Amino acid sequence: MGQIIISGILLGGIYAIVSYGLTLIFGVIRVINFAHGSLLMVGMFMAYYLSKGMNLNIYLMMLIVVPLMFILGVLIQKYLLSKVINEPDMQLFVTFGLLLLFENVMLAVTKGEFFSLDMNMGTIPIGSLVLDWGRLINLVAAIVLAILLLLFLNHTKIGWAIRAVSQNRYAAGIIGLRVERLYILAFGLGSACIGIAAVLLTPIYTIFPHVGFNFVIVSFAVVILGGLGSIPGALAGGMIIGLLESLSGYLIAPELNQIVWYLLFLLVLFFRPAGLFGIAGSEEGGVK
Amino acid sequence: MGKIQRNVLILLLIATIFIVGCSNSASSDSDSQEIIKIGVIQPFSGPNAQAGEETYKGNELAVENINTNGGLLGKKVKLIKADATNAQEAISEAERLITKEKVDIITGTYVSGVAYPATQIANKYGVLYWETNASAPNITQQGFNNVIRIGQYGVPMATVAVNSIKDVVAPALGKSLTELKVVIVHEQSIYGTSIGEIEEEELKKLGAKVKRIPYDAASADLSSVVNLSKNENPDIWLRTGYVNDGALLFKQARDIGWKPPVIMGQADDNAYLLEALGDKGMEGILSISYPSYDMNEKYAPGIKDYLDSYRNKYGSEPKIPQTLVSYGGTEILFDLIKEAKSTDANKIREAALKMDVKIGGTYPTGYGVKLDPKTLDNTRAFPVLTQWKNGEIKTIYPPEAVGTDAKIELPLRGW
Amino acid sequence: MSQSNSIQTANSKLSKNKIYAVAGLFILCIVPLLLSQEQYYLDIVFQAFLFAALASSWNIIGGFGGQHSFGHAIFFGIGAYTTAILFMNYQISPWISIWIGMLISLFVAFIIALPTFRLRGAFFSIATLIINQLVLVLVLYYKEITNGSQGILLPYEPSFKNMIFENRMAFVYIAFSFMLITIFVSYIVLKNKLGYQLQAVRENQDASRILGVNPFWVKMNGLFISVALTSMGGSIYAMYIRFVDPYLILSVAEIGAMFVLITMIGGMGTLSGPIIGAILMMPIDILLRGSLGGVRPGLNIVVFSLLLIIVALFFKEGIVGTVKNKLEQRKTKLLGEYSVETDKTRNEVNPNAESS
Repeated sequence: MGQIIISGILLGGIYAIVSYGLTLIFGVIRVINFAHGSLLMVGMFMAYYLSKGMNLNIYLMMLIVVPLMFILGVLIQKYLLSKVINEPDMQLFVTFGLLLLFENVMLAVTKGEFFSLDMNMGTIPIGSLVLDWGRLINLVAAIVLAILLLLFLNHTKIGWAIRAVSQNRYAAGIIGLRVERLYILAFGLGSACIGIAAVLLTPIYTIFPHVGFNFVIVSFAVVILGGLGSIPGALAGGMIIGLLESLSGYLIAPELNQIVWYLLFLLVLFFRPAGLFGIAGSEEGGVK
Repeated sequence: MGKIQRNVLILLLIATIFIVGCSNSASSDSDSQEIIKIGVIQPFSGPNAQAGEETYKGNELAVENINTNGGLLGKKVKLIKADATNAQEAISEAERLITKEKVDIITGTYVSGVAYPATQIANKYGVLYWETNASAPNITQQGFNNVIRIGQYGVPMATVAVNSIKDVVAPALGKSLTELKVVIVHEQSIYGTSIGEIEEEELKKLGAKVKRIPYDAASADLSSVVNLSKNENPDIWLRTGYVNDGALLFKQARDIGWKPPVIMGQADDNAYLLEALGDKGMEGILSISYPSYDMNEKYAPGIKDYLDSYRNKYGSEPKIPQTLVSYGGTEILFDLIKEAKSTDANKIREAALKMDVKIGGTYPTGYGVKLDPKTLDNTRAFPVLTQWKNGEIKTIYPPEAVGTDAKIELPLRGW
Repeated sequence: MSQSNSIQTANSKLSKNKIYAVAGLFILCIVPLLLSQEQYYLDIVFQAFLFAALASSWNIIGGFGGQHSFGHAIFFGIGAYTTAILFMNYQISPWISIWIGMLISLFVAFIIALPTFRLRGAFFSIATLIINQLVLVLVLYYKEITNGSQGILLPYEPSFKNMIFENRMAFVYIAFSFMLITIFVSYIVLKNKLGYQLQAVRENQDASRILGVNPFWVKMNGLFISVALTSMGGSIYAMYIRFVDPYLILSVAEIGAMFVLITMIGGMGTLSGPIIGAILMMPIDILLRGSLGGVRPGLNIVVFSLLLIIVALFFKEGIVGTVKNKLEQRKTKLLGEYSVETDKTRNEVNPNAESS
């Protein structure tokens, strides 16, 4: 049982780290970013190829992957999404197009083959319980990244500006913030966060063009559960869903491992639509 | 919008219409007199694209082989790819192959969900559907007389798993069947479920203690499967699933430092799992698999040639064992076409029903040929049991297929 | 967009231009395929009509009412499963079970809407998405009823009673009639109180309340009509492919999101938008698969997705909305200052005569 709780927490770390990027993008630009999972996949392929090509440790690849993903995010926002900035429907449509595009470009490149890093980093026994290094590093990184993002959003000028835009983009425009630029920055930052997640997940999962797809729905749920745009919310949401999935898989049946958190998610939405850490009423405006 | 952008758009639209138009004119070539066309329906996109592509390579090598040796009935053979990942696309593509491309025969299919509608359409037009891969048992139970399954499928995969536990694994562990405890884990789609359920039933008949745990192959975490299995403390961990979930499952077992005495998977002797877990990780893991590449040349004549031509053409070792199955299956098809002197479904079926080839010694898969007259399943297409040794796949069972002096080595000791 | 404005645009939905546009597209894309009488092309036409109808159904709640449901595959699935199960177990003709499926869909829609209609915008979308996944898990788990992941394979026994036909032309007629029904229903909704109320809720739910509209029941009525039609489509689809595969039928990516995307690209909240969207998207998708699917894995979808993105960037308000705006701009230029009339009068004016 203890082992299951540990697995749940470690899984929570994974769900949290894949959700930071989404909560930034979702919270600020207010577009349902369907391309989220495929960006994660692109990041994982970058990390894998670079690490193999340069024969360096995978975690060092963050130095390259994160800036590359930042640039990719900036390009997407600047040349695609900002063209349809006043049309939320078309923004969603474009992100879906990007999902298909990224997945299938990688499919055409790799012919759908599977890639894995075999990093048998060993385990850490604690009494009768066992932790594994890959997921532990990921969990620590998830917590550290949450703190860094919070510091950035709360204690820097750009961070304040981003928060202002996410709360009210019209008012932010009126007080002289350059909303479109901040959008570009937010998408870039969100993508950079996805890049960090991609590097951390590369040793854990097998990489193939559809690997990101399985994380899309869960990260939407984490973001809404935690509260739109809330970093601590994403961390808490990830933990809750990770634990619930692990426990219900163990106690009920592995094929029903998601059903409890689906139900909890719906219950939370029913009683507290703004999410656990969201500002009450933020759902009322209706994010489009 | 600027003028340039608009022009680019118009150009792209024209290009698409052009491509679409070309596809429709391409099929109108009048050379069907000199060419035998075989349509290949596989998932060439989507999550199973890799398997579709690798399976197709088997067809491709067999066709190249026959074309360089003078063709078939004096004609060249041409393959036409059709990409279908689900039932809806299967309908479109099967219709295209038959009515537009005018193929003589259709072969496939890695995904059973694609095979159902595709076989129905082939049946409507009376075109032979030459099934080399699909595992769902009821594909051949639809009462169609044009669907022949030459390769192994779910039932033999499951029964051979049980038989090899009985004949090889249990003796190696020094236990009797009634002392054995088996945990079956399988992904929950039709592939894993059909095999897992038969295994459970057969093992229970033999008196073994069995627990069956289905799971979702798309799960981001399989620790609950691993821990539930570990709690049972089984002698044998029997798995049916795909590559990515297999890698995750094994890695998560390694992450908690649990390795049961026996791990046996379905077709887990592929290059991707080796990359994921390394030589050491895969050491000793058994697979009930498609005929493997180290088989004895006497049992599987032509296997060395096949391997050479694969390496020459694609510049690597074969990635998954299914490639050989489609290669061998296509060779049987060619022999039948020669025998029937036609590509007509009825004539080929008659020839196939007459065919009586014993297991081993004829085809590079080692398969024999003897169709079940009711379902048209090949009753002599049997899987083999393989084991990973130092990063190489060694065939263990059946004895006549074993090329080297490989012996089963059990139990497994740690990751 | 202000409320009165949007209602005005709703009124002008059937302007002559629009009819010409749809008719033109029809002649360009569909008629040649129909004339060929080839089963492959008839399959494409069937899928185009069916998805046009399904997108239209979605449009009633999603477009008119602004509730972007990503869970409509549930009702599609209810239709498909009801028909398939009743057909296999009780030999009930699909012509009858279609109606049973619709009733079940209404019931399920009510249950789902109770909590989710409190939510707005993306929150509603994601809640419906999660419910869709929940339903998929349940369908896979309750094997006794649904046959689980094996799906339901329907035998090929052609007869009118079984809604199974040898020639796909029969299915084309069915899908075409279904499409006409959805267009007709959408038109009735739009022309009646419910249509105005739905649009009022879409534009500003709180303001609509002040006008004496009960947003919950307005949305609920819109949803009822929408899901009943979606379920009907699911039943037809089940008999067409004769293999009810839960992973396909309940797939958000391949079914549920398709309704949304087709409507978006065609023109959200318009009568002709979903039809135009489907008649463009479906044939291109299938034909690209046929021509490029074998060249390199995924290449057909690369081209398809590039086309989608480009079209989205050029037709920012959907094809119908953007074309309409362009036409209006041109007319305004030609007519000078005097063109601030309703659509109707504008269409009757001969610009050349006027400007000379």
